Amino acid sequence: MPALFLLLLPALTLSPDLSIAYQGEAGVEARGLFTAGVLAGINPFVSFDAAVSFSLLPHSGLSGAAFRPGLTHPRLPGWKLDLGFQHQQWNDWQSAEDRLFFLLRCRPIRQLTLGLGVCRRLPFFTAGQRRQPLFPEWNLLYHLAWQLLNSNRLTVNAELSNYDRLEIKNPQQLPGAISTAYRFTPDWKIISRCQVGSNGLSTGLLSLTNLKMEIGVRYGK
Amino acid sequence: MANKLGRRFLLLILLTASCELDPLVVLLHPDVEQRVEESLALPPPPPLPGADTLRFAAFGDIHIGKPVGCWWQQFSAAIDTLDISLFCVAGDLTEHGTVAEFDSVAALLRQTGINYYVTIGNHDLYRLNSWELYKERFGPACYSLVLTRPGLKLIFLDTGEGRLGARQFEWLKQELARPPARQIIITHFPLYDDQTPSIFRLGSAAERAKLQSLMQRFNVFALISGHIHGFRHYRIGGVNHFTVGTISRALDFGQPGFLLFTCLPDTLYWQFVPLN
Repeated sequence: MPALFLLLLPALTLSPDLSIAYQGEAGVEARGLFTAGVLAGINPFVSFDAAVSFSLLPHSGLSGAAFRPGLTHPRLPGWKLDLGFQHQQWNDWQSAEDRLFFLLRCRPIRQLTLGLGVCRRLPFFTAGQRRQPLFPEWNLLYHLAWQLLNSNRLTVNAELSNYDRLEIKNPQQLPGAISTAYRFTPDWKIISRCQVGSNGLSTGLLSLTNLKMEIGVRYGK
Repeated sequence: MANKLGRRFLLLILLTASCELDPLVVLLHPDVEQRVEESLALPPPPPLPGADTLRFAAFGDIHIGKPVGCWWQQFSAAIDTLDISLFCVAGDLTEHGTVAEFDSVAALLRQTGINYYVTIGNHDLYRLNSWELYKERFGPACYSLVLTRPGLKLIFLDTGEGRLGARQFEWLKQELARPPARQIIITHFPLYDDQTPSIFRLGSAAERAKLQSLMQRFNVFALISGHIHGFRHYRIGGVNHFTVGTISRALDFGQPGFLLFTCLPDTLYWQFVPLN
């Protein structure tokens, strides 16, 4: 095992990032988040993404954590399988949720990424040190991303995806997002993401109630 | 450009026609925050005379105006023999939220001669003026009913568009903290609808977590909801979750029926009463 680790080490590429975000949903949360993450390529076929997020205001503390290894196969260029774990918690309500998921993504054309997967949600109530399991359930994952712009410095993507790095929304929330990355030096990028989600697909009544705005920096080629 | 807009509008009409919803309602319906403010400004229902034993029924989804119909006659016949003091309807009183449908359902409920308490469902908001029509006939959609004897509070929530909103959460938290401690929440959208992926529950994962957390902290006895046309019961974190959209004839599964509660000063029993 250590030999394997040493074998892989020279190929390791790391892209750390830091960001701040505002996450708001009327009635349930309005908090400032600080997120630190790292995107690592172990070799051309194995990568992982890890992130941890802290709530700054109004209740400080851990907000979430995620680890997502991604696998590609040399004979299937354009396909990627993500397997992952997420933890999200709401400290003031003594509630938390763990999630296990897989997401299969493909790029039928250069600008378009499509993904479909399944998540197992494991919510629990945290009274003191005790974890009381609540209602585990399955959740469909979808991911549709269209690259609107890709120049040397700037990339802009539009997404319709109920999956993001630290959170998985219910399918009916239809979260739409615009994400950008602007390279301002050869090694550094400014990254940003703005996501809006709704509730109520089954009602036919739309209310845009979820908003997440994030801005940060990422190191890496 | 005009053609493009026209095509988009046509697409919106086609998409919404399947649920017979006024297309303008999709974005222009009165928001839950507005409805809750208006509900809380309306007078609450008058108190009921107390008794040491209270029996009441609960169900949802009458859907007056739906061609397939509902099990109303059978329900009326059943309650004649059960000596109930009141019944609760967990939303979707109408199919399209029209004047004629609201008038019909109000007449049906009145004809029973029994006290009834209702909340709003998504179908009750399917016309631009549906909320006004609902208020005129039924009053608030978010309110509580206190029965000092035998000691029970029924809390009705407005989840007409699949969410609770800030004002309603704030009110609910205050309401749960007030006596009596034995409480039941009645709402249209369920919090949980089994382990299979489905969209027929409260939309936001964060709202669901917060509502469940509040119910556990305040030892709520049950959450009764409709929306799903079938009967389900789960006990989650000590809270009974009932789904009873079982008066509609368009059942998704199971039998038609209603929930019957018997409340004594120190005990609360429930049973599902089948109708066919």
